[in-house]
Amino acid sequence: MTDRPVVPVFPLLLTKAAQSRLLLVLLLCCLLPACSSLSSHYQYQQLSSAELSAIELSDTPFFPQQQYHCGPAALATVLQVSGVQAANPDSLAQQVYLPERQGSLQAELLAASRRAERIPYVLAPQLTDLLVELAAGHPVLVLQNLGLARWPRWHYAVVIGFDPNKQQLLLRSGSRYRQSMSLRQFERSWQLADYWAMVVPAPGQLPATAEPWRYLQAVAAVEQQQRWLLAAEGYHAAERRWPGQATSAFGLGNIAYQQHDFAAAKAHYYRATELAPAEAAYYFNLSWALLRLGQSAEALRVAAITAQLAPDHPRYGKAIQLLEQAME
Amino acid sequence: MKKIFVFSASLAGAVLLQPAMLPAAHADIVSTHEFVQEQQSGLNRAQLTEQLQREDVRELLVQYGVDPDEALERVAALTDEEVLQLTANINELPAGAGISISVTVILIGILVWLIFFR
Repeated sequence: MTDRPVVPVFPLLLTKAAQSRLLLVLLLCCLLPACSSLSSHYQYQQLSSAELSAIELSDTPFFPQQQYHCGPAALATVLQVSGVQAANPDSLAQQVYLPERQGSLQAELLAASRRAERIPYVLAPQLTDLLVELAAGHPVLVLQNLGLARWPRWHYAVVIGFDPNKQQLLLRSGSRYRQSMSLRQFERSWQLADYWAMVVPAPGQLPATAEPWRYLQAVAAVEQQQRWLLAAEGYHAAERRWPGQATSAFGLGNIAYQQHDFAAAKAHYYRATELAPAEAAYYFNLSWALLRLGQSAEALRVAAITAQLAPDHPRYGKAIQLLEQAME
Repeated sequence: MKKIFVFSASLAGAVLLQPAMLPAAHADIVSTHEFVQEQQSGLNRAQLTEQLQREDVRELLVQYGVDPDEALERVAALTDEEVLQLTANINELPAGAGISISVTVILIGILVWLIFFR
């Protein structure tokens, strides 16, 4: 703002009093950015740009934002890329826009992605993760604070490119089709929004930067909404990426159980206990599947193992009593 | 102001009515989301008041201008943690908007006024 060419022209035309006021204002302008960047630590300074290559996902569609509707516009952009043909800002506004707040909440962007039969994934708060997703071809929806920490101006945009030479990111943002923003300027706005970013992978794909628990949490959210096929797809994808991770088998077991396919549930739970023989939760659910199959003796035996593994846990510790109550 | 009142009233309601919800939750298997949550946070945070809070969030969304039927669907797509988040801070959470009159324009306006008209 301070480098606008119009400012230096003014003093020639001004009275003395106006000049001193102008000086004061300029001084304030210089002080403001200094205050806001005093204790900041930026991740981009640690990037080794030489190792990174330039990328621009130029096929990414663009929905110019209407007033206050950057949430629906940004979400429509990433949903379209993940193959949701029907996604458009108008119908998404119904699902995410909060009139009294004149904006959209992060949780509702995630929720609307689930309603579009996708598994949204919130990235770890790292600039490198954002760049890795870009390199993998996933545009990244980010929350920015374009104002000050005290006086926030929240905004959603989609990062679609990176230029390591110019140290710039490219964004589909608001009414701008191709906004370039210096890494420093971007990271300041992103840091003020706690580095929040999400990707929406196409069905059956994992985010490039997926971490096991973070991803399983994203799938469990979809399972909780009884989107069984989508959740099962997510757990299968997780199993392929992390074959030794037992929680995917556990999740598949829970899906089967909730659909009353207790034999399949039992098989999945057994597999989970083989992968993680000390995890009480897996035995706990296995005992219930056995109970539903009418194998009460085996169920009680497994419940005993559960209680042994976690005697102090409020639920697993009482595994036997809970089963016995259900048998009565 | 009215919003704050309604919000705190509904929060108080959630706290007061909590015991009524206790028996139903612990009946059956451990759900994956509970398990993952527990693994990540190290806490056993069963969402006993889930149903009740979902109704609260639905009412909040309606107060914030969302169509009642749509609000039902929107709440159904949230996770337990997101429901808790919204019940606690719907008014403070970042609401991405990207206002149309930019702060830059306002600042330049103030500058011009300070220099020429005072």
